[in-house]
Formats: sequence, structure tokens, C-alpha cells
Amino acid sequence: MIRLIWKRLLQLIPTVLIVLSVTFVITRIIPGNPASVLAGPEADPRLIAELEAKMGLDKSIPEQFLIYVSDIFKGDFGTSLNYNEPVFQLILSRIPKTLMITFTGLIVALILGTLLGTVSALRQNSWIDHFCTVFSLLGASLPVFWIGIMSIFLFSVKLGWLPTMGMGSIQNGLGDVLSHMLLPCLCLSLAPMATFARTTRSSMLDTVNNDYIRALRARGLKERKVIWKHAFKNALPQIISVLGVQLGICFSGAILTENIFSWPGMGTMISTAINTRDYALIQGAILTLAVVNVAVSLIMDIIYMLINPKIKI
Amino acid sequence: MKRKEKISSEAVMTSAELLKKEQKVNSFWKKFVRNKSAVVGLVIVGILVIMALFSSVLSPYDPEALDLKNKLLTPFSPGHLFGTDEFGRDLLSRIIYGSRMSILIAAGSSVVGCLIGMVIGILAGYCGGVVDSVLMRIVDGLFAFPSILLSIVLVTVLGNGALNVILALGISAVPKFARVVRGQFTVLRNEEFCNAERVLGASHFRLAVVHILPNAISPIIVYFTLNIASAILSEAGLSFLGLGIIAPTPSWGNILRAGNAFLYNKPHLAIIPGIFIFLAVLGFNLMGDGIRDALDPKMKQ
Repeated sequence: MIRLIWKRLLQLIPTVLIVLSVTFVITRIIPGNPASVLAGPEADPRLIAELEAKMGLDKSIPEQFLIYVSDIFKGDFGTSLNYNEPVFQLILSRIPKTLMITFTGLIVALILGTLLGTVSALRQNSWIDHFCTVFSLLGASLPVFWIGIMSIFLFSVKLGWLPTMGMGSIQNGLGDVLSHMLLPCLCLSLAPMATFARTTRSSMLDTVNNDYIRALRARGLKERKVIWKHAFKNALPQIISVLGVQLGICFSGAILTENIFSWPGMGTMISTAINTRDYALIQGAILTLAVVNVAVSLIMDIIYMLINPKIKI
Repeated sequence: MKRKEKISSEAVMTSAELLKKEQKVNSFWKKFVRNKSAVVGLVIVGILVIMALFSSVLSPYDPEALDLKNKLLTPFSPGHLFGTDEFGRDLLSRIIYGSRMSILIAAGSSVVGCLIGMVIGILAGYCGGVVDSVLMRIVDGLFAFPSILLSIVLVTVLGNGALNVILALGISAVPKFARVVRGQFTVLRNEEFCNAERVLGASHFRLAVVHILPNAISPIIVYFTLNIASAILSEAGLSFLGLGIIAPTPSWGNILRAGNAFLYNKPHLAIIPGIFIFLAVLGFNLMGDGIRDALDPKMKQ
């Protein structure tokens, strides 16, 4: 087991290297030399050359890559042109807010989705099973940003129940923040919830018809215990393996959803950065999200290895 | 004499293959049609393709023609079934032309992603060993980026426009295809029929492309169809963020982006494009699921 985890950790090195090279390449092929952009239009060529030397742009590409990587490990992601602040600081202040809605959305999706999937597997062909099938289809096809817009239209414009913009303030009490979080989280959770429901349903259907479940029932074990302690345990590895993939989808969804709800996280920052061509910020933000994604899928994989009795060495 | 024999045996082979193929198509089609939701998907996709192909005939107005006297009309206004936008452009015409953009980008990017992914997957799966490890680590690296992020990055680098969006979404789809194809090839290359071909002296290229690929094609077709659905979503998402297809060229995403600003007074400008995005994605998803069930019921994941 330990060896497997080590092997998985070693696989991480090339992945991170690829991620770094992709973000490095972006800065090298974007239109416009960063030095001349910084110096402004009609700048003295000597000033540009000086800036190039200062930014290390006169060195060879492999050297530049090494400098880039070592800067990143020092926490130096460059300076945002737009905010005129270190990119690292900006990301640090924004990423907790994005993680807040992605993780809450994912947890909501996990709980409701597995519940729906389990119930519909146990009552095959009942109304709840049909609902589950339709729901998992809709959830996979509805555009998350459109659902966001429609929920604003319904709950904020028409009914006036919930606030539309921002994340509220903790000074106004926890309720303020929670009411701002409710719609973004629900929108985000829809697509993963559909996937969880579908996965749980199919893997529960595979297990509940097994002989050992029938044997447990015959021995007079409580139904609740049979389902949650024995059948669900076998469906769990499948759900965990889906969880890792869903996180990436949630991140993608968060970038779009944040823009609709003006949630002050990474997504709104990235879209501002895109509109102002703030390349240092785009690069830093994307690198951070990719690394977070890699880290969480690593944790998921390790949990999967620990939880799945079929993997044993 | 020898040559004649070879030709005749080839002719027999092809006719036998043709017969087999025909039977396969027939049974596939029958299975597909028996599945109601698959047929619904096919109908939706069919309507979309007709909309995309005959946009210029079907749309009542020029999608980019301004008419400032008739701006922000509500749906069912005379002459404008879906109303007009903030510049008086006919929404129905813009939606119809938007379908052309969506289908073009979704299909184009799926072709790009599928082809590159297939090359990587075939090389990795067939060669195995070091080639496999190196290629798959690269794919893992690409997979680390949440998909929309990778497309955002690529469009930012490449610039806006349909062709660049096709490239960006195509490259973002590569990891998925590469993994599927590789998975098939690692299993199939050790099958009995491959060993037989190897003993008969088939070249690596022939073995991989002529013998293994046809056996691996079912999941590729399914992924291709499902990828069109997710590419429609991604394209809409990109245009919604203001990347990719830039107004006045209509795309469902940028119509929705523009409509979002009028949510309070003219909600139809945001509701209608969203419904079309949803229906298109639903159609391709249903069709993809239908193809999967008809090709191989065991493939369900």
C-alpha cells in the first residue's frame, strides 16, 4: 500500500512539470513582448533592452524556464499589471472564497446525489427512480451559467428572496454570507449531483442483488444496516473515483458561476484579468487552480486506495 | 496463377466483410431506434443540423442588421417571433445563425481532439513501456487543468475567432480521447487475433490501424458524440465570458452574455439562448447514450 502511494506521488513530478511548462509557454507566446508592454508604447528601445535584461528575457529559453520555476517556488508569481500588486498576494486573498463555494457545492452534491442514487436503486422503477434518471440527464445538459442567471431571475428579481451580488459580509452575521452562498453553491452542485446520483444508482444496483446482501437480509439484519453498512460500502470506491473528476468540473463551473453572482473569487478575477490582458495574473491563477486540482485528485486517489479492499499489496 | 488467387480471396473477404458490416449496421440501427430517448436525441440533433446548414434560408432577417427603432421587442411581436435585442437585431435570426457557430465549433473541435487524442492513445497503448509512460504523463499534465481553464488559456494565447476556439476546445479534449483510446489498445494488443496477425507478419502500423482500431472504434464514436455536447457547453461558456466568438457575430454564448444585462426588464434575451444551448447539449447527450447502448450495452460506466 505504502509503495503504491509512493508510486502515485512520483507520478506527480512529471504532471507538475507539464503544468509549469504549459503556463511558462503561455507567457512566451502571448502577443507582445512583456518588456515593451511594461515600458509603454513609443518607449526608447534602450529602455526596453534594459527592462528585458532586468526581467531576464535576454537569457536562453531553458535558463528562463529555470528562473521561472525557481521564482514560483519562492512564491514570486510576478506583478499584476491591473491591480499593481504581487500576483501571489491577490491569489491568496481570492482562492479561499473559490474553495468555499466549490467545496460546499461538491459536498452538497455528494450527499444529495448519493442519497438520491441509493433510494432510486432500492426502489427501481418507482417515481423516484424515474425522477433520478431524468434529473441525471438534465443535470448533465444544463449550462451552469444559464442556471445561475435563471435562478437570479427567479429568486432575486421575481421573488426577491435572495441577494444577487457579492458574498455579503460576515459583519452582518453568518446568515448574510450563507444567503449569498446559497444560489452559487446550488448551481455548482447540480451537475456533480447528477453524476453522483447516476454512479451511485448503477453501483448500488450491482451490489444489492448480490448473494451476500440476500444472506444478510435472511439473517434478519435491519434493512438500514444492510444498505448503509454493507451495500453502500461496496459502492463507495466508485463514488470516490468520480469525486476526483467532479472537482475539476466544479472548478470550471465556479469560474463561470462566480461571474454571474459577482462572487469575489478566482473566477471573477480571471475574467477581469482576461478583459484587461493581465497575463501575469492569468498565468498565476491558472497555475494555482491546476495545482489545487492535482493535489485534491491525489488525495482522492489515496483515499480510493485506502478504501478499496481490492487494492492490496 | 498466384496473383489471381490472391485477388479472388480478397474479393471473397471484402464481400464477406460487407455482409457482416451490413448486418452490424442493421442491428445497430434497430437497437438505436428501439431506444426512445436516443430517437429524441437524434431528432433534436437533426433539427439543429438543418438549422445550421440552412441558416441563410431559415432566418427571416440578417442576424447582424441593426434596427434601432425596434429594439428590445418582446417575443411574439409582429415580425419578430423571439423579439429583438438591444440593437434591434432579430433574436430568432441570431439564434439560427448561432446554431451554425455552435455546431461548427463543437464538431470541429471534437474532430481535432479525437484525431490528436487517437494518435497519442494509439502510440501509448500500442507501444507501451516508456512511450506509454511519457505520453500519459503529458496527458495527465493537460488533464490537471480544469477543462474550461485550459480553453480560456488557449483562447487567450491564440486570440479570438472560430478557428482558434476550435483549436482550443480541441486541445482541451485531447486528454479524454487519448485515455479512452489508450485503454482500448492496451487491452486489445494482447488479444489472440493480434498475436495471429503478428505471426503472419503484419507491420506495426497495419496491426494498429487496420486490425486493432476497428475493434476500438465503438467507445471512440460514443466519446466523440458526448464530446460534441460538452464542446457546445464550453463554447457557450467561453463566449459568455467574452472570449472566443465576439459580437456582432452571433453565438449562443455571446447572445446570452448580452441578454444577461437586461435580465430585469427583458428576461427573454437570456432565457431563449439558454434553452437552445440546453436542448443542443441534451440532444447530443441522448444520442451519445443511445449509440453507446446500441453498440455495446456492457460499455456503461
